[in-house]
Amino acid sequence: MSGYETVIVNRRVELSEEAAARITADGGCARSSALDICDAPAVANFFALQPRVDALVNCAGAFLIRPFCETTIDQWRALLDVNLRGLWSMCRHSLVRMQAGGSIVNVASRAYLGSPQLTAYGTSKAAVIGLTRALALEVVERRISVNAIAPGMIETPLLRESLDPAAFAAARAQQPGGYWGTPDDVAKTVSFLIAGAPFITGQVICVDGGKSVTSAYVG
Amino acid sequence: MRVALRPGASDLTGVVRLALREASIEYREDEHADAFAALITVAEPLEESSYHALDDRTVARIVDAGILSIVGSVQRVFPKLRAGSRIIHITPCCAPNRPGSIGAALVEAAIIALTRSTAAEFAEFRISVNAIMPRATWSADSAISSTLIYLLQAPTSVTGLSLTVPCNCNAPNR
Repeated sequence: MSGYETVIVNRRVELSEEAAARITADGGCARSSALDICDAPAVANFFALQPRVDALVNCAGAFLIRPFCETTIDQWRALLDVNLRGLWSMCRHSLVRMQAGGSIVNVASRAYLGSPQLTAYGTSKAAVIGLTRALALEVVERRISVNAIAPGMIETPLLRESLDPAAFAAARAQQPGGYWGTPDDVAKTVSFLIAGAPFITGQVICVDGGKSVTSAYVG
Repeated sequence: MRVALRPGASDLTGVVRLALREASIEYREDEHADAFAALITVAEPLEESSYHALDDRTVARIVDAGILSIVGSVQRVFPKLRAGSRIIHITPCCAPNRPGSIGAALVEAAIIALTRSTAAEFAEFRISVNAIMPRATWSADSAISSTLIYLLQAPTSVTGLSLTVPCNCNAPNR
């Protein structure tokens, strides 16, 4: 994002360093920091060093493909810890440092619409969307926008690690047009919501190549 | 028909008990039986707070009470359901138009997603999953009762729905 100083946090600091280096190489301004968003005291300490926040993009996430009856409560809790509780911690600390014109973008998933084998994941992302809508109304008088995006199949390392080759091919065959999105598709939407659309708030934008309109359930 | 009822908020649970009794449907609240024809879950009341006060531990409690307790109930009762059984979640419809509704809004969205995903997954077992979402109005509670009895008897192909119905009880979203 041009004009912004970006702080990239990741549990794995080498990944945040790599991302910050790419932004710097492109002429941007970026720093990196190690942070586990589930560690509430660590999040508080991190934000204590940030006097001002203009925008927050919550894209840390945990993923699980598993039948409902084989998903343990501990696995549910682990997903909700990252996808919801950690995300909320980031929102809360950012908001006290945000001024009018600030924005939050929460990265959810098209799985919030319901999908077999993705019940725990999709439910955690739906909770993020519920939170996004309610929070948007709480902070609208401060002229801060809160939106969510719901990406579909985006070719990322997380996705490639999660699917075996047969599942990979089967999932791609179900996609309208037969092609998946790229991280750039997501990034452009996030940029738009951060800087281009202050009157849009409490919304969910599917970035999924039309998959969400093909059926009631989006496998 | 024997129904497993997972009680939650006392007013909503009371409406469900009355509806089942009036329809002469046997229900148990302890999940201790070999087989059930349906599972009805009723949401627990949630603590409310504006975003300033909604700290990490409060979010964890809301997740436990609003989401994980319902998931646990479905997982325990599912093995006791046969083809043709129904699962019905009753959780307040939240209009997020006032401070303090973040917890209720995230739980509502989560239960809609849980309903849709498990409906898709349980379709092959011919088990339907639907949700009734009472919205506090000045109309009578009979809409909850009639919707509940309909869903208990509807074909299992009616599945994945979250139906907003009016109610007059002291739902936790008021």
